[in-house]
Amino acid sequence: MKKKGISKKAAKYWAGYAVKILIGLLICTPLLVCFMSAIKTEAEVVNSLGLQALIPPLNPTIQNFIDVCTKVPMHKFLLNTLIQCGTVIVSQVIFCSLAAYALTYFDFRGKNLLFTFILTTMMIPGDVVIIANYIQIQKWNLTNTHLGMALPMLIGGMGIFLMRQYYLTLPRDLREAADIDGCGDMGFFFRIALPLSVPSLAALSIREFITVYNRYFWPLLVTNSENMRTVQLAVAAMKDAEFNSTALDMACAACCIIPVVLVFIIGHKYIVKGMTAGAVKG
Amino acid sequence: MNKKKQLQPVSGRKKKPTPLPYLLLLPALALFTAFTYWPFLRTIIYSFALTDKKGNFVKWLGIQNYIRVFTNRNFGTIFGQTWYFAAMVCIGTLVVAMVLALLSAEQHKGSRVYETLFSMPMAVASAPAATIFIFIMRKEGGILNQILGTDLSWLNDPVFALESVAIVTIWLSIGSTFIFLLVGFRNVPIDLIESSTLDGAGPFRRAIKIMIPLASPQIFFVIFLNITASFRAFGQIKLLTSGGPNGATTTLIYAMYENAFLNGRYETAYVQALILFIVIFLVTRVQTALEERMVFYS
Amino acid sequence: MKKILALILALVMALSLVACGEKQPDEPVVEDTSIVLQEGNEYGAPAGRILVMYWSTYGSSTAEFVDKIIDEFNNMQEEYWVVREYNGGYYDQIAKLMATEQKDLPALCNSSSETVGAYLHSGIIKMVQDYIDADPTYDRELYAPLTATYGNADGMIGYPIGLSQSGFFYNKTVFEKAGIDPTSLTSFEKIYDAVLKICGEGHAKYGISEEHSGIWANYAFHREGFYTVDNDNASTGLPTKCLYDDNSNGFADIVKQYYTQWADLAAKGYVYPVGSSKKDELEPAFANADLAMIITTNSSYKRIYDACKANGHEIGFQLMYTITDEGKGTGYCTSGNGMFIIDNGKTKSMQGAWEFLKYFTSPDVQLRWNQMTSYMPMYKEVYEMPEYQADLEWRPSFKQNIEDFLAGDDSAFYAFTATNNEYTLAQQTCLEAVCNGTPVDDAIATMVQTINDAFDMYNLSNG
Repeated sequence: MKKKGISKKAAKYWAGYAVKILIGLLICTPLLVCFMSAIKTEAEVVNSLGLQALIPPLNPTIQNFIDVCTKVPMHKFLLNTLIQCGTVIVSQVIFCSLAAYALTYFDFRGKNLLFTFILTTMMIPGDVVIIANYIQIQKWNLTNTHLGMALPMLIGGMGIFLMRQYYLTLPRDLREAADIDGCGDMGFFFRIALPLSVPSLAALSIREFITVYNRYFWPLLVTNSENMRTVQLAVAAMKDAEFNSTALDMACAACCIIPVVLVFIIGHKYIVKGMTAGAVKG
Repeated sequence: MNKKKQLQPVSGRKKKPTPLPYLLLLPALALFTAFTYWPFLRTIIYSFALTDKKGNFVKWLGIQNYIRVFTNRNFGTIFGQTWYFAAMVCIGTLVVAMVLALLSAEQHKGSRVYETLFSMPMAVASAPAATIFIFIMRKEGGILNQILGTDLSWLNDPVFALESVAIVTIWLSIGSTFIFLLVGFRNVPIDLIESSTLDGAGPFRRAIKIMIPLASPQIFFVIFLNITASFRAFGQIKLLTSGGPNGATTTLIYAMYENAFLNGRYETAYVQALILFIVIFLVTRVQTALEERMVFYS
Repeated sequence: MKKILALILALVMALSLVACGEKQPDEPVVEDTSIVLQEGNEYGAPAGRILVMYWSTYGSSTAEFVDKIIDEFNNMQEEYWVVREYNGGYYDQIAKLMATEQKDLPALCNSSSETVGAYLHSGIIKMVQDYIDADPTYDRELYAPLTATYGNADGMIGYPIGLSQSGFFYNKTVFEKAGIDPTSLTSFEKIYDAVLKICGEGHAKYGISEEHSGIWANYAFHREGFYTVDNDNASTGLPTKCLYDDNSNGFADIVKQYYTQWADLAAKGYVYPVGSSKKDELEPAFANADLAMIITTNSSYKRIYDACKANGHEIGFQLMYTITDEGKGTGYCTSGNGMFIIDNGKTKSMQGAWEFLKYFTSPDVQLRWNQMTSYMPMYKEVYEMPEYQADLEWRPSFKQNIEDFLAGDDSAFYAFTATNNEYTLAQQTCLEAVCNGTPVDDAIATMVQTINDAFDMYNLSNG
């Protein structure tokens, strides 16, 4: 009896698992199309009608990838992009936590006003200020520098909002216990609040990584030399070529997607697990 | 009321004023002032002026720019499309991501595989996504048409273009929404779920009665996230349809981009930017007001 | 809330005062500030070279070729060092040029032929004619339509580097089945009849479509013998209105007929939806003989030729048509790419830009460039080279194109509007509108209104 019940439950579980994997694959179909087309010849891509686009070619070729990498110094662009992502993540993690901490744990004049001030930045359409910022960066002679490229991204309303939401869920007793233990304001921040918020910081970091990785117009404006260019600009440069093939476009898109997807697959475990674990603790 | 309570210091103690919170906020405020508010003020000021091809001040026009933008024959269409697009993206993303998150709310061995698959699209930028979707949505030989047995020109028929762009945008944003919701659902205490199962509640009722109310802070957070993001969604519109066909996918943000960068009409772009700002501001106010009434804070 | 508003208002007022006081007069450039490269510079150039910065829209294989020519130039003389930097597509590049301070501007850039007007009025270029006049060694004779497209009464504004011609590709298999001679399609009226026959009799699913752009209609109107904007097609001054609704010489009727015929074909389902990506949609359909004609330029000849050959189809290219059979059919408006010398205040650097431009357009370079890209020769010397003639053998219709082009005169050129994007986009939108059921009169009225509004605003703020 009991055994039968378990096997029935297991069967149900595995059926559910299979369905979920299928849904997952369906969601990722566009990526599959991209990778499959990238290893085909141009003639195969052009003539792969409908679902044929999902079928791997008989003779997979990596020629498209070789072409992409010989035409643009991908490794250099990737390095620049990673430096950008690193700078922005570190800065946002520090400045957003500090600001959010101040907004959660302190009572001071103008607090509500300042919080509104910060939230409002999320509602300002970023592209409208881009030219003004470019002119500013030129005035400071910061074009073609990592600092110039990163400056407007070093803080984000979203980050502060996210961190504040998290601090609000921390129980009050924690703070009171810390007070009794003689932790100062900053002691509480560094010893308790910050370590507890690691999952939220991870989520914030992943968000910023993806945002910065995918920026196009801003790096195009503030950089000129190839030494400072980022991956998205490489993709754009490839696409701007009048005489390109679709297969090459797909290979280029794949080159751009693969690094993030890898970071994502590796980091995913930590994001979801970390986020849930941290919240349960709180 | 609720909001007031939230903004109280968590510790609830009276303290003598210290400059510390201002110091903590200083870097954030300095950066915001330099790169967001200062140029945004310029935007407000120049929206009342005439600007030349380089965006420099020529002369004051008062509210003439506003009159011109509001009386433009396309304004109604663009404004309507902006709302319609935001609604489609916001609701579509929320529904899809919520179904996915409810499906994976229970943590199992191996659940990471489908969690990763569900959230994968968030790793893809709009540029490569556009390359792929243009290929998938082809009229002749496109995968989408073959699966659905249709013969549609998804991106170049004014009737479907905005919906098609919305589909791509939903695809791009389900990933992050899914993760936030998943965290919300997984935070629901196990004993609550178990007791409701003992009461004989099926998975559907359990979702409605327990999971969704308890995860409401996260749900409201992703709604806020998706509202601001969809009003500002721009890359995919530019790359998929460039605002066409016949203006069917021109939203406020795209019109703003076109005026500032392609047409050199900065003052018009500034007016549109301000309208967009006010729209987002009001929507989020309404959303916050609703949140205060509806969110279940444990 | 009131407090916030009051605060914001106060800030606005205070800052608007600051903003008004901020305007600075442009400083006159006194001395040459060209950058002389030092030992160990980031470009790997020998010390003492003058830096010539070149912003380009080219990517991929085209860029590779350009870089090769830059290498040759840098090594054949000892004064200048050209560095190419990619700065986005045509409109990204213009936006960046306009927002960049003079000292940071490049000395040279390239852009497409329909943007000449935008550069002419940009206020940041030096007329190429100045350099031609100062250069005793210059003796090139460009084909007349090129001089018309890149120059005005004051001489050359920019200088062409690659010539392509607009028209349409046809799939020979389809036309043989339908029993139509594609070279007889010299007017849009005839194309209209041909599409009706091809699709009506089921020789192909779609008769026609175009690479997505508003420029083709203008090219056809110019072939018909009309200017599209006032002030002599904006060659004698900034345009104040477009002429699409001006029937004083019958032009409005021509415009209406053109769009009506498109609308009719689209209503019958014979048009592959306009706006579809040329590379991803039109070319595959064309290579499968599902689509009979694509309106575009002949610069993608090689790729389309290869794609069709793989499926056993032959292709040809026919130059831009007139609208009616009675059209004047005198001049061909040229397409392709040109270079512009940017006034970055660095005299020697700009001189270097001219020297490089001269090298890039020299016969030897042009021959290789044309063979690689399917651009057409820009002057007689290149055309008559035996190597070029030999290269024409695999594409006989291309040879015919050149002969047709040479038989034309210099009466046609793309209007020199400063509001290039609005002008061309309005036309593109008009075609999209009529093909999707908007009444033709409404669509044309909207187009005219949009273009004229843009002219008014531009003239008000920059005139």
